[in-house]
Amino acid sequence: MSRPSRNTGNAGGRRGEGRPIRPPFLEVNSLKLEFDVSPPWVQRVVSKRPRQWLKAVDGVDFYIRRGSTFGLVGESGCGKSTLARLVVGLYDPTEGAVSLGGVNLTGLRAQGRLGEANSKVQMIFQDPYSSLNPRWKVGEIIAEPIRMHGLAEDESAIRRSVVALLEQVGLSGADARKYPHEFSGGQRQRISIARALAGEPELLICDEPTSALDVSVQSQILNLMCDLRDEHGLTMLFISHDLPVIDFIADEVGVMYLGRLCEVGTPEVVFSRPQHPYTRMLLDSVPTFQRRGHAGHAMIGEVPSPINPPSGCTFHPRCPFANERCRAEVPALIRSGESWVACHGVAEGRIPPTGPDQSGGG
Amino acid sequence: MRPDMEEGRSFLKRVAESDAYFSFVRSPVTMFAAATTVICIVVAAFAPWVAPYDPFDLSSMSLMDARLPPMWIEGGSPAYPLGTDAQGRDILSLIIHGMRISLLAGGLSMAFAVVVGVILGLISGYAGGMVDSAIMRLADIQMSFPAILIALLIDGVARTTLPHEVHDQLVMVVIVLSIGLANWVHFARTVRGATMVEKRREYVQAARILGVRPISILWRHILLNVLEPVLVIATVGFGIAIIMEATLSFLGVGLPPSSPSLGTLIRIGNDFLFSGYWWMTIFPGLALLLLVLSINLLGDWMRDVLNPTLR
Amino acid sequence: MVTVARDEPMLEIRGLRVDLQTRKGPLRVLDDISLEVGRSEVLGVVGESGAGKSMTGAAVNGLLPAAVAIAGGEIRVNGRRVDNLPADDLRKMRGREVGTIFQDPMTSLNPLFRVGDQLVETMRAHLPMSRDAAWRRGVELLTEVGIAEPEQRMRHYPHQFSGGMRQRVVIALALCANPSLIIADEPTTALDVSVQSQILRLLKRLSAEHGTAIMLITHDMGVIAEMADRVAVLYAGRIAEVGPVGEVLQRPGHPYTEGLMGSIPKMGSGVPRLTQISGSMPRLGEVVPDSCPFVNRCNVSLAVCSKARPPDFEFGASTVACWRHEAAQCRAASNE
Repeated sequence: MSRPSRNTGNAGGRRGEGRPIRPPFLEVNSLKLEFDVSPPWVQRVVSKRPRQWLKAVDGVDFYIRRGSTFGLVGESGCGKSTLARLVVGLYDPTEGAVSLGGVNLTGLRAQGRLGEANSKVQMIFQDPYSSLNPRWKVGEIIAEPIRMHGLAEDESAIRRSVVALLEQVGLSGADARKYPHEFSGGQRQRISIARALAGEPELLICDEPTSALDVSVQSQILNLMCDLRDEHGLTMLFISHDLPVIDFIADEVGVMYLGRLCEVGTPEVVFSRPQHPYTRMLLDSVPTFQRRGHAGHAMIGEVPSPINPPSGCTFHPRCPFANERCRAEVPALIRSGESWVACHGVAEGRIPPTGPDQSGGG
Repeated sequence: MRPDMEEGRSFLKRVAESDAYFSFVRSPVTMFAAATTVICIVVAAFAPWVAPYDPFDLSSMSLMDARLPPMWIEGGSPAYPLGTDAQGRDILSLIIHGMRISLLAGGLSMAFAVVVGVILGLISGYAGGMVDSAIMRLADIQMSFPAILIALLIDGVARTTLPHEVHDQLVMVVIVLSIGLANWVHFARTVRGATMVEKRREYVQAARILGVRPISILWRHILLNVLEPVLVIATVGFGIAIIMEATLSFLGVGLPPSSPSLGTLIRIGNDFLFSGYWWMTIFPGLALLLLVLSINLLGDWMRDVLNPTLR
Repeated sequence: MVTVARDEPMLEIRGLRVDLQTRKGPLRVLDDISLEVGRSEVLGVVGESGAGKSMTGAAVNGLLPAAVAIAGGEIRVNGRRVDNLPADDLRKMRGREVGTIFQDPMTSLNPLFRVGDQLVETMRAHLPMSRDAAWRRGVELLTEVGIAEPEQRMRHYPHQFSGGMRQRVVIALALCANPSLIIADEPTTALDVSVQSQILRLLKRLSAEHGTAIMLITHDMGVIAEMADRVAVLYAGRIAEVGPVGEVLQRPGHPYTEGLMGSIPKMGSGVPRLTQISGSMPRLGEVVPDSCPFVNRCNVSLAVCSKARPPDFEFGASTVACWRHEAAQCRAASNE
């Protein structure tokens, strides 16, 4: 993957207009992660099978400017959640590095200084039921980051911060004495957000934070996250499989397929004038009332196994525009129009421009 | 769809409204078992005050009263409701004191097994890889020996290496160690499995992101969440441990007649069974049966309530 | 949109009430649900988790959980009452007249048997067919649901199929006895968007070709928009609104539906904030019987809303249970 795969110049999108261009804050450089999924040694020897590697993340480059939100979309198994876990250090990359504000986090983590590396990083998870320790009171859960990072002098200061955080996320201070099971899914997600904010992060990683919630609760949580982002000046990496959610919250979007980024740009451009055939198909398969009855470009096939991914461009078996070069050569993420696209077809100009019919449902 | 979600109320009210309490009051067998277990434990704890005689006080013994049958049989005395043994000791008092020793041996050995099993299970489940393999292979080896054999082995080694007086003093320690070592594997396996599930949960990942050290994650986060099945196994295991101690004592490698457990009493009484003095062995036997049965019934109920999938 | 002949519905639910037995007494899970689905029609049933949408489906195919039972009303499939059938007849009805598709395809597939054998067994359990004929029909069905090389695939086990392919097999299984009604409970929730659209298109086509009525239960308004002819919005065990999908989605009559539609992020809308409904749906047993269950979250509520349960009012082509339509309409809907 080519190094200079820098994404769009003017991050900040709709809300960033008129603001000065800021330098990159989170930088992810040719990040790779391979899992050893080989069968046990004895089995390998007996059946003469080689070791097998699963390329969960296969050379990803992007950066996020301070205060803006990068949305990562893709289908299950595309590596977006793994990428999030690499950024927070739950996995150690096989190759590449993550740096935050110029500090190489990967290096710090390799020295075992995870707490130090993550002093400005927090994460919100998908499952509101498993992300809170069922045996801890809510107050203790929220206090943990404060204690770990030494952000308050004494117990009474911690208690005051916990109450303030609970109120910020729309709960009451009295909730600190309750256990997680006394709350609904949406309220638990608010508690998760309070815990994340307790660590006074500058970078917030959100891994499908609203996917397990009902739509009416999802809108409450999304609005809350927008408010808190603006209030605390948070930089966010927001992961979702739901394109409209990404369109709503992100300033920039990266589309992932089988461990690689295939298109990066602002949501307005990527979702209204998609260039990569995969992005087009993804957009086409979002069910909308407006497109009811239109056959569109029906998506064919399913995501292949990342253990034995297709050669060349991994999307070629499902791509209507694939040719010999696509089957042989891995495309690099290169500038194309206002976005960055990893597609030989787009680079060679042999893919027809998107019709008005596919413009993401208006 | 979740009517069982409770609001924060007082602890007692929560207990009274819990499913566990509900199933408890609906099951007379469980209530009986719980009552028996509690009575046994209380009586055993206060043995010196509850028992009519002190069976270890030589001055209160009289050979004149030896081998008296229970009070409802001709020749029996109301002073010794369950009769006396060959040395004129009151059987009821012996049972009460024996139960104290049995419960102590069973409880301590279970506690030892729980501590060893939980610690090894936590480490094994959380660390994975080589550490996990090593601990689990050790458990496999342990499991391939019958528990009684291990106990006999440890006891035998202790007997030959330690002087006689020291051994008599340390016999309780030896019993606890041998029964405990025979039982830790169940705890280790259960805790390992539960730990592997918990460590993938997102609250553990959140703690890891904060840089919480593994030992602290295990101790503060995971331990409390894996203890429920441990409680169930420990209760059932408690009954088994008492039986194992009785077996060892019955075989003569357990507690000596000077501090008799129920098993020792059964063994001593057994010598007189064919002489017609059946009460010396039957009553301690019944006491053991009642105690272990109650504990097991209680354990079964806990398993059903806390973790139906273990059934 | 409503071109379907409404005289002879495939599924008719009238005043269905379903109770959950607890030790503190019964809790009403479904309260006075009335729905019908016509031939070739897709009725979407949408609602938040706990609204009772899955229970509605389970009541129809007789798969209610142990502590839950029908407490009143009637359910007719093809004109025949099915809510009071004995267990044996219920089992015959399932699969023969009512096919079911669940969220997790492995609920319907036995991992130990080959897909072909499962198809053949199901067909022969319901229809007088020889093994060979059933096998041939099985191959046809797999072809119909878009599985390549159906002859070979018949001999494969469920684990040899991918998630999307498995769901296709389940659809073939649900169709194999030519049922008049298919209950699809979140059929695409576990699937990726690209596979979801394939499965939805397949269901829609099959429903049209076979004249099968489909009750599509989902939480996803997008799926409803793409698939359903009519939609019923459930809220706290009651129907808030029923009507043609275009009406309900674009001109919602119930404040809840309106709030729900506003809260869904839309592509390219560019709004800085989403409309949101405050609070959350009342839990089981929290609904005051003589009131509108939405009253506490409603920002246009009237005095009457907390005093009396709203009957069904006609609103355009829809039926809406909201007191705000009383004034506009002067008379209550005749079916109440």
